[in-house]
Amino acid sequence: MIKETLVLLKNIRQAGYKGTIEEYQQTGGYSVWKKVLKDLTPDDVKKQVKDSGLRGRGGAGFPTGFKWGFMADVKGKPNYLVCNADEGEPGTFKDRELMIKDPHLFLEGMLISCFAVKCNTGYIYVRGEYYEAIKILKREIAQLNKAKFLGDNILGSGYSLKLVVHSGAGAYICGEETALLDSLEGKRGLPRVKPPFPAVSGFNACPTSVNNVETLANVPFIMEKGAEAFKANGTINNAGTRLISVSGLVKRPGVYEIKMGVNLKDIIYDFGGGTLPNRTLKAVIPGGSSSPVLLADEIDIGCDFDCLQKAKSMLGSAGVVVLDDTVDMPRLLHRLIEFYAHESCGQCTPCREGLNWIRILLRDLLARRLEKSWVDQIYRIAGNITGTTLCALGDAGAIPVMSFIDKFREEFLGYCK
Amino acid sequence: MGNYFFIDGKKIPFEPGESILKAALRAGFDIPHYCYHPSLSTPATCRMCLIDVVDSGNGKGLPTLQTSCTTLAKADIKISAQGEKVVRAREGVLEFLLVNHPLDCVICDQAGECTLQDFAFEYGSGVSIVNHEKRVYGLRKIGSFLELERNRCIHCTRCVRFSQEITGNSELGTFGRGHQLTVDTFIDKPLSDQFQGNLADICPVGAITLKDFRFKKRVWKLKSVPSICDRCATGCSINLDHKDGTIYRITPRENQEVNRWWMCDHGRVGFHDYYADDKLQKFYTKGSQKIDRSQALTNMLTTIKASAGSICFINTASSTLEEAYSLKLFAKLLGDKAKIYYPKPVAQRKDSDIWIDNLISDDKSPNSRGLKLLGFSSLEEESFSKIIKDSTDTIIVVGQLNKSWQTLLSDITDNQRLIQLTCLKNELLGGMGLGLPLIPVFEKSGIYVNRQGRAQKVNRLNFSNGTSLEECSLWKNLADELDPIDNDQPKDNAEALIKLAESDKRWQDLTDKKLLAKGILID
Amino acid sequence: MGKDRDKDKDKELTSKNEMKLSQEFYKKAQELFKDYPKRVHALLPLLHMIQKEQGQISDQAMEEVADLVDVAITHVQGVVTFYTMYSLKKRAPNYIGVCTNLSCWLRGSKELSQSLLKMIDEEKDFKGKFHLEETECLGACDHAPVALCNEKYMEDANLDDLKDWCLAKCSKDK
Repeated sequence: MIKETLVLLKNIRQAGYKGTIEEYQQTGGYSVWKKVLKDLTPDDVKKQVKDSGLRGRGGAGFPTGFKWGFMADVKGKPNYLVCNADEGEPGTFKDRELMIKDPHLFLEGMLISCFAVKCNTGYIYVRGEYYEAIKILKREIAQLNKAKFLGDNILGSGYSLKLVVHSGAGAYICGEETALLDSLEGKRGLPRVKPPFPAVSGFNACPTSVNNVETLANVPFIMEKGAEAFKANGTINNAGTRLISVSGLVKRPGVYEIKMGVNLKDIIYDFGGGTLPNRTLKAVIPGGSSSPVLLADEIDIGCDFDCLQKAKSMLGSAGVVVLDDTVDMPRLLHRLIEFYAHESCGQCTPCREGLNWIRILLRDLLARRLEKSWVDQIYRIAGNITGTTLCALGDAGAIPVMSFIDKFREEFLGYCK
Repeated sequence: MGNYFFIDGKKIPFEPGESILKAALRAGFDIPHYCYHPSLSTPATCRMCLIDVVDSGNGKGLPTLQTSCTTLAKADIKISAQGEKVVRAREGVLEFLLVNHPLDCVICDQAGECTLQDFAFEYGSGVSIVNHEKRVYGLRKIGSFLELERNRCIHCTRCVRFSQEITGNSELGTFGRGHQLTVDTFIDKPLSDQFQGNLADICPVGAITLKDFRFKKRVWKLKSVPSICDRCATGCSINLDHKDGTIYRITPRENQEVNRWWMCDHGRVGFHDYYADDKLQKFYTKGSQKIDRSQALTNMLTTIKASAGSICFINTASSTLEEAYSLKLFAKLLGDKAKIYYPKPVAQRKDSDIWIDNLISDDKSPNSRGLKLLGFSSLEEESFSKIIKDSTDTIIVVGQLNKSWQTLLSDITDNQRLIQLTCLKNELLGGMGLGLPLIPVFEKSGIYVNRQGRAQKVNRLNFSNGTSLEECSLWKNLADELDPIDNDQPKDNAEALIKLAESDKRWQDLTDKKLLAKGILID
Repeated sequence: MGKDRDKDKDKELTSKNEMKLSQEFYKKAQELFKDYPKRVHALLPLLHMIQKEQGQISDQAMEEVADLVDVAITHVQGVVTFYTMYSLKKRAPNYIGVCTNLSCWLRGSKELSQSLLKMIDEEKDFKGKFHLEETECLGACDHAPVALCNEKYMEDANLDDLKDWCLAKCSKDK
């Protein structure tokens, strides 16, 4: 029986923990923030985070220290840190858990990170539907201002910081960092051409770092316990713990914190409690809806960026969705493609036209209107989307199509005339 | 190592900071594209111009295909634009574009100059497997100048970017998202600017077309003659698209020194004036009576001969340089009693911050600068009034006066004589004096000097209505009557230019090629 | 039903409503502007305020807000039609969004949403009071199916609980 490694969920797992600023401080919260302000320079923080090997928890897994390192110091242009709290990948709910149940852990991470990148106004872009998280964050930021942990000349350090909670308005694509920046600028959330990268020209054309909630929530631990302690919780190249969102057809869905590298099968059975009574495991989507699906006999692998890549899937946002023998794969795929087609921003041809085309074809397939040859056509169309779009949404929609057909071809053929 | 890179083994030169697509297009290497336009920002969204970087300078290629419009050219990198990977991707993109695009080229007015049609022919698979209903957008109006057919739109957003970046009015926007993305104005609000025709030019498909030209003629039946717009002193480079001498439309011709890729809507549809019912094609005598051509010319000669006092020529600067020079020589023949003027050009209003706003000159004459260079004196309206009242014996107007100048002509007394040469009929004309028709600009070939001092070539269609007068030959005929032995009058524009170049070396070496390409800065 | 994804029809792009934005709105807008380098950056929160105040974002409101943040009207219209939380047409006062994405779908949310639609159609008292939508992942997959009832999540949602919520809303309105 495996156990959780509690770093981010340390407080949340305490019975009765409400996440107020007082409670958070009683567990030693904000002592790191005070220490950073008193003793360290931004470069010290940057170096320690870089040394820790922390990789972004939003999906792409880019090393956070490097991201910060790329930020150009441009005269006359302020630096910005924007927290990406636009959690929207189906099957992923860890950021909401953190923001609602232990907001100050994340906020302390945000404060330290803003300090590290010399940012004086930090934005938290929360998806619009997270009304509760938005309310809590606004309330707790007011508490921080009251406690003088935030504001002008914080605790006499000469450093000033303002945090703004910005609410999204219902667009999955805004989880893509450049689309998020466009959205934050009051525009349609369209992914931008890169380069320039946000580190050079991001929010309001200023150097900007965009970081995920969970990523930032790791920073207090790194600054308190050191880079080595962080690395100890994980494998080479996969430092630290990881929040895994387990959902779908399991007994105990929820957010679990593991050392990177823990076996996926153990996560599903030990944490998730295995399949529902009288059902058998059919497949697992390991990293949010866009990651290639794994068959029941493929899940005996470590849960980290590299192991899943070896298994031709990906860890992504670590949203593990469990599918059992009652699931009709073509129907599920149709639902997923409806989602991706609906969320495509529409600027790139393959994503705009291709995903919708597949949506229509799957609709017709389910209505038993298609010949068998169409299964290969759908596969080919999905293949033509991959690698041809500006951002990753095209691929995110096309990959499940290909992986579902690869692994469940018979079910698709079964719907054909 | 120079500034070269390679596409499929072909050496392509480039300027630092330039994209692969831009350099390739300049070198005459075609990479298909839709959203890219050299004048606009680069959203890299049509995904048509994908290329494969097989060697990014370090012996290694890039793992994924890149858009050539955003990938910067670097020395010695090797690009594949015809490799299997690229061809497959391009076919895929084309297939996607055609999923919802109507396949009814036969009834689409863009057919023949539609890049979707062209590329589908060149790069497409040739078969359509689409068997479901296509996307249908509601009908929208965007004003009286353009027709918007959104079902044909391929969402390249060139039009939207034009309205944001070139005219700056942002009257067009992109609305909705995903496969319901659409281009439109705010609730049927008509476009208001004077450069709308350019939207039809940059639209790669038949989504935006000119109402004026729609369904008038298939484009492959049209022939194009490069020329210059005569509607103002800017002198935009244009193409006259005609069939058998009838102009069907005018499109701008790229000239970075003058009009870049654009022209205004007045210039675009102004040619209709020359086909209008009120075009002067007949010869009139005083009292609006029609007379025949030879009688009219005789009357004109008699009038000039009979002028004991001064003769005042007013040239409205729609004459070409050659015609004006020819007039100058003719006036010289008449001696001191003849004077030539041109109406003083209206000063250009203050420069607008928006480049294209300055495209329309306030001086509506195409050749004021040319006449100035020939040494003609400019005339204020007040002075013109004075000339008339000072009982100048004969007034000869060459070209069409503007309205307020025209009104001044009514002050002419019975003792004065008036001859008007114009290609537009005018209610005042017939009654006031002798009226003779000139050939319109599309029937003549010569030089205009625009407000920048740039000499450019106006070109003729090889068709004529046969009765109207050509200025050089008119002056030549009159000169031969006045002094058959010793006149230096050129017989046509070509000869006039040779004579002009002999007298002033600034006008030497004006080759047609240079005059047509970018023009030649004279002044 | 809010969305009918199988209809490839053009969405209505605008909606008339002569209602002016309130003084309160303009006051709050001034406060918001302090949080951003440029006024236009506050566009999303401003539109949220309008949607809440008027139940829609009308042509009139778009024009007013375009003037306020000094952008073209097409910019505002582009933004309003991009995000699903804004609606051009007036919405019923109470919002119910049933998540029908992956984890909720696996746990029967599609059927739930269909039954809910039927119920709201059939109950006389509910008429015109509820705006029902199928939403994408709401990020509470551990309590699937999830419904967003106005601004609160109903976790492990079922038809009975949703009906109770609707009834409570109706009696409160009376």
